Amino acid sequence: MKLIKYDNYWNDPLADVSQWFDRALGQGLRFPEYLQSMLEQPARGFRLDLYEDGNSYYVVAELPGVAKEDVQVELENAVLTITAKRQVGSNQSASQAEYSRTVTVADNVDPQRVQAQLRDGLLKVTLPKAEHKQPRAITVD
Amino acid sequence: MSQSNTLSPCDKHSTQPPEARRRYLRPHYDISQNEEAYTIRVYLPGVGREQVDVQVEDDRLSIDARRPAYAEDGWKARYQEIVQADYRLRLDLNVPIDQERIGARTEDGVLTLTLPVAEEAKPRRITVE
Repeated sequence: MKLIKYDNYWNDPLADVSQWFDRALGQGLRFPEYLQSMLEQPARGFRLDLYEDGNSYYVVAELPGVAKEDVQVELENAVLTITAKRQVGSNQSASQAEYSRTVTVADNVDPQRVQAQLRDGLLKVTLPKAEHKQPRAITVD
Repeated sequence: MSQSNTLSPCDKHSTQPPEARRRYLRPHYDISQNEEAYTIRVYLPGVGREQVDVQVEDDRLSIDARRPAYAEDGWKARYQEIVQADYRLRLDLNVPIDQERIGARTEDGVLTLTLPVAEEAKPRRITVE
């Protein structure tokens, strides 16, 4: 007479996607590099989607049970990093886990107008494209 | 971003399959328990309070959650990991539950169900005379 409790790694709602996808997205998958990244960072991630329309790029991530204060979104050059903290386990044995994903977006994003919204455990990051990406003319002296 | 153009684009305008063949996702969930109640947390990212349906029939707990499409018209998918399907979870309760006092709430995409153990199933202390 027992409800079976699954409390292992594979049942962690946020942990089942490895950094593999990040690698595949960013640059071509190179095997030694992939192995290296596995050693450096344990696979802790969450699922995300990437969309685009005429005005913006959109990144949507699944973050159930994560409070607004515990989400950090950072854009550095063309690299978007989403970090989320989450309580794992019940009250008696609570611990905090950190999840992070990195996505390379195009470099024509206007960093001033980036917006992030978290609703019902779904994070939506809007990355507006810059109005005009001015080509920079370099004068030759 | 040129590589990602080849990654599976979604066609969200395709026709919905009939009810019987529709795919459901089984959500992650965890259960904790004490003497008074079982607490089930079901992770349903993207599902609001109005879209969850919880039913108890005999010894079966049914959780159905409809996930609205979050992609807006005109969005082109560049890369996708999130599976677009509704959630469905069926749990058999093999413990007597006080069905009148089941509590449910959603917060941040997590559905928390409290199932109080029925009085007759609680451990009983027997006084030694």
